[in-house]
Amino acid sequence: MACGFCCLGEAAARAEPLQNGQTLWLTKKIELMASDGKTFDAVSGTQLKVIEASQLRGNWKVTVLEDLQGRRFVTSTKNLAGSYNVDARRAAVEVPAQTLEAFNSHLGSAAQTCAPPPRAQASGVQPPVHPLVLGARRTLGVFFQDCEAASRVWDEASDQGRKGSSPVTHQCEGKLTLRCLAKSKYDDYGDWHYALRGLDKRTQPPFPQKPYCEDVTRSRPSIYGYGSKCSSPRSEGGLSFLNVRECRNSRHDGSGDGILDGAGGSIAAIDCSGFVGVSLAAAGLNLSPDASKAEVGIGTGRFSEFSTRRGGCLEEARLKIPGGIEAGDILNLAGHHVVLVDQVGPDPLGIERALARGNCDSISRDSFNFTIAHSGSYGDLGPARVSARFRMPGAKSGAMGSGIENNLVDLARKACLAAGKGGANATVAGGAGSFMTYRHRGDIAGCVMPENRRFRLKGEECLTQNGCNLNFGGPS
Amino acid sequence: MKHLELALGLLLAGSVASAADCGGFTPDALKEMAREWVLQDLAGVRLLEPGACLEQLKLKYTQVAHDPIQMAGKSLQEVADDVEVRVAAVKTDGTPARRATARFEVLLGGQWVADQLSFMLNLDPQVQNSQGCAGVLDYPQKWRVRQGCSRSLQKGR
Repeated sequence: MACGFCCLGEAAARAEPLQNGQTLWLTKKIELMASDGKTFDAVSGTQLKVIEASQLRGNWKVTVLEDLQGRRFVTSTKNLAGSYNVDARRAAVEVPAQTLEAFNSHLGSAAQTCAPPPRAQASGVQPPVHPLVLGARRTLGVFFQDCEAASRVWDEASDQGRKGSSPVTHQCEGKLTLRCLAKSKYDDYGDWHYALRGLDKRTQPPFPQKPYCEDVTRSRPSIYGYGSKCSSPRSEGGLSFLNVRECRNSRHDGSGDGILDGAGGSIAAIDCSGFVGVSLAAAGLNLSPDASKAEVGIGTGRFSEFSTRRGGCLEEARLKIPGGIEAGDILNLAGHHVVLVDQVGPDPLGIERALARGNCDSISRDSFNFTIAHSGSYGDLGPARVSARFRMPGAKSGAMGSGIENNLVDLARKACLAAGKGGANATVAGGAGSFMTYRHRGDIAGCVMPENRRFRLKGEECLTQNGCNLNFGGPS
Repeated sequence: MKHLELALGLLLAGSVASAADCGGFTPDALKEMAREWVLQDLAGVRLLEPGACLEQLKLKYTQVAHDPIQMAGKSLQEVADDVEVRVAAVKTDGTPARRATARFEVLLGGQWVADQLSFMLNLDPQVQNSQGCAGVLDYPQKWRVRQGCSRSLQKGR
């Protein structure tokens, strides 16, 4: 199937009556006229606010629109009809094939099956990605040993092919926190896993891409490891998820928490804060400018120790209205869970849509439009890139867990109310109580490692030697 | 005509569909919401694996949303299955209130031990229908689970 502009069936434009104050997304290129009379084309995907839905100017019905910078334009109401969508999830964007996947991750549609695996591109048209996002994707790529797998997003569409029950066993040896995966179940795990499923049937490029990549569905699948965190690499080849001393877990004797591998098998495992710590290290980002305080394996309750207020590299973020969160943000419910914001779509927390409806209380976790990278017990997957609004069938919350979801909803409602009181350019605190949004401050001296000191992950050459471009595109 | 009837039917059905009963978010209703969150926690909502205790809970205002602690380190205290709970006070924030912090006490070894939690209030009827009247923001400081709900964890330790 030709895949240049596929998967946009869901995104077809719909003519819906407009109301003043409503936000719309263009689904086609249209001509706008600025107040000085100059005209230009606004491309598909442009976000605009309706100032006056339709007014008569001479013999013409025009609509007054405002862009995100507050500039006002008029356009023909007739031309506008059928050229917009009021739901960001259905807004069609003219995207080249290599960015289609990222776009569809916002839609939650079936792009995974037709988007080609991201490759290094000659034209550097994509915007830069936050270094921490690159670190997280690099970590996922090393866990999965495949570039395409790292680019995949777990959402409604990619969950469709999941069959049966999880091959991961809980409460191994009677311990509630110990998980195991029998070697005989590795194939089943490949079919269960949103990112690994179907890779064995891929021919172009072949899977695995030897000699630098291995087939983890046969050699070392990754699962969630309660209490599994990594420390500084001890070996020349870089940090190894299989080295029990570097990434502590209980693979061999089941004496602690975490994982127990099947007889003769190996499992790579990590917990939530372990994943964030490795992602930071893999991105060459320090938690503290003070080298003596450099750590990789911190728990979820310790992020505040590395806040800029205490001399660290993590700023307690203030969320800009109306967007809120940004790619690279660390969302932490202390002592509970921590995730990274991987990629944000338009209106990631639903604040603008709530403002357009005039109802800030309508914001819920269903309003989310962003992806996260994390390691969690959700779905027995461990490291994963997940749509924030995705929920497994029957589940009441998503991969972030209800605590983080509720705190984000609460923040979004707060930001929405502040914007409604005229604080359009204001900010709100990125957390309260045990919840905080942290933003790494790479501009502070010592917070970024020299490239030659960045943590290397064992197996990273699978990505570098095969030209994997971790900038999967999109608006991150 | 049939279309008109159908449209009217849909309209009426829409108008009678009501939001979840949140008790008007009165002080008593808020206390009950807080109590439900404590009961959820005692039933193991934060355990890695959701247990049968959660399914057995009868909740009026809140929905069970399993939210496992994704890291080792938080110490768990097991308490009696018939542990008593009382909510001492609920303080709200905002007008109308959108957040609440509850101080509650658990009877342990003949003594009432204090703790607190906070939750957000879902004021929108549609959100109430899909996600309940309230969502937890901050869990109790102490992680306590009823013995019968944490038995498998105890067995492994």
